[in-house]
Amino acid sequence: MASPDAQTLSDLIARSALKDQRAFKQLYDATSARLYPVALRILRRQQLAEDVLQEAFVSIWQRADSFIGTECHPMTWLTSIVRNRAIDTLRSQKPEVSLTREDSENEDDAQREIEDEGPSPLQMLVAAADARQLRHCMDRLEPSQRQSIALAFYQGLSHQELAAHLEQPLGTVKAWVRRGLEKLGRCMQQHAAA
Amino acid sequence: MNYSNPELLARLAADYVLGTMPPRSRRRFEKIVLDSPAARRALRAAEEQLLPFAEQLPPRPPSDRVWRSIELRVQPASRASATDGARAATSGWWQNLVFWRSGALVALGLFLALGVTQFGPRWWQPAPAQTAGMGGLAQSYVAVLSDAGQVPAFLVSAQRYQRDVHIKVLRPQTLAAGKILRLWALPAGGEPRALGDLPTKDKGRLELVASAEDVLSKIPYLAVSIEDAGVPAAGRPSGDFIYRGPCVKLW
Repeated sequence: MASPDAQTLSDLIARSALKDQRAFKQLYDATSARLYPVALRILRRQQLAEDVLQEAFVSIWQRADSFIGTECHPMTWLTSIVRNRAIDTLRSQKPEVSLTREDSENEDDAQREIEDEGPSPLQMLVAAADARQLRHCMDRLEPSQRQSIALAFYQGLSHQELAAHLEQPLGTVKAWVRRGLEKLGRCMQQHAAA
Repeated sequence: MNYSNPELLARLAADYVLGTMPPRSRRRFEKIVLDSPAARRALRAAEEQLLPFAEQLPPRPPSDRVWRSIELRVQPASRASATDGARAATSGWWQNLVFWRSGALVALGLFLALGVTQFGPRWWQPAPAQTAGMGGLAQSYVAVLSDAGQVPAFLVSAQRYQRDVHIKVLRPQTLAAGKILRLWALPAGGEPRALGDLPTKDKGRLELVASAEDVLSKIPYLAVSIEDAGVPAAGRPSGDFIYRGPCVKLW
């Protein structure tokens, strides 16, 4: 599915900043199905992800004026609000989430195990790179670097969780992420400049 | 750390956007971003690089309840005092409540009265920085003042670090000529302290001598008495309190 047109979204955000409720509803309709998975993938629980989406949109309504003049892609701006909230919520909810994850009788299981459905984080990362013609940047990364960045980005895993998940020492995983991000960043800068 | 180092900023920004940065460092980085244009640029660059990766997530619409909850929270505040019909319905609802003594339920009632039915999990946590409009209502002191029959008459609220007290009259008041309504703070085991005079209808505002935090943090109850107009807002109430209610912290 293609992203909604950037100019249209920018206009809707600008009109939301003027407290145009109809524009805000259009913005929600155009983007919520794309932003909801951002929170859902990280939080893995439907209720929690919907709460975060709701809070994020209230924040978007309140802060819409701060978008004007940022020259950000509107989808980037919207995604950052949803993602930051989802990550903060995940970190603050950690004990409860881990507890319920072990409690496999819960009906939320299907939603929590969402990482088993659809493409894996690594597949998505590679596909995203392809879509942006950045495959060559992705290819420069070690497989371990790609894997840890993909898990951190799509599923919100912390360094410690990455270390546990990948069964590697914490320091090793931190270095993978850091070097991977540095390489990726450099390559993307060159790509943008070219 | 030297936050003017572009490489360090780029690394911190990428760590922040990727989400691997620990919570305390996240808060610290958010503060740096507020103060430093270089950090803002680094964050912007990292976002532009990494966030488009989210486009590969298969789209999935949230349930309808999400928009319904958002809609309730983005309505203009004036909606609460909209039409007469709405007001009559609201007052009927208020009057049916017979359990106003419970502070917790008063707070719940307040959430509803303010047109806010859903708060996210982080709503009550302290804001990372002292910025306005974090997700919902600002940290405030609030009280619903009710008569002996537990019928509410005033909604009183003050933001935690501000001196302004906002008053909403839930039930218009009729007073004899030359009389006014005065708001009092009732400290536990101390003498009542006058806070100011109240409007008899619609909305009003009064100013505290210091911030709400200073004046109200140790005040369990607020109350209202009838006083003679023109008598300074000091001393003791001249008669009984006609309205009172718990003063609760909304955070």
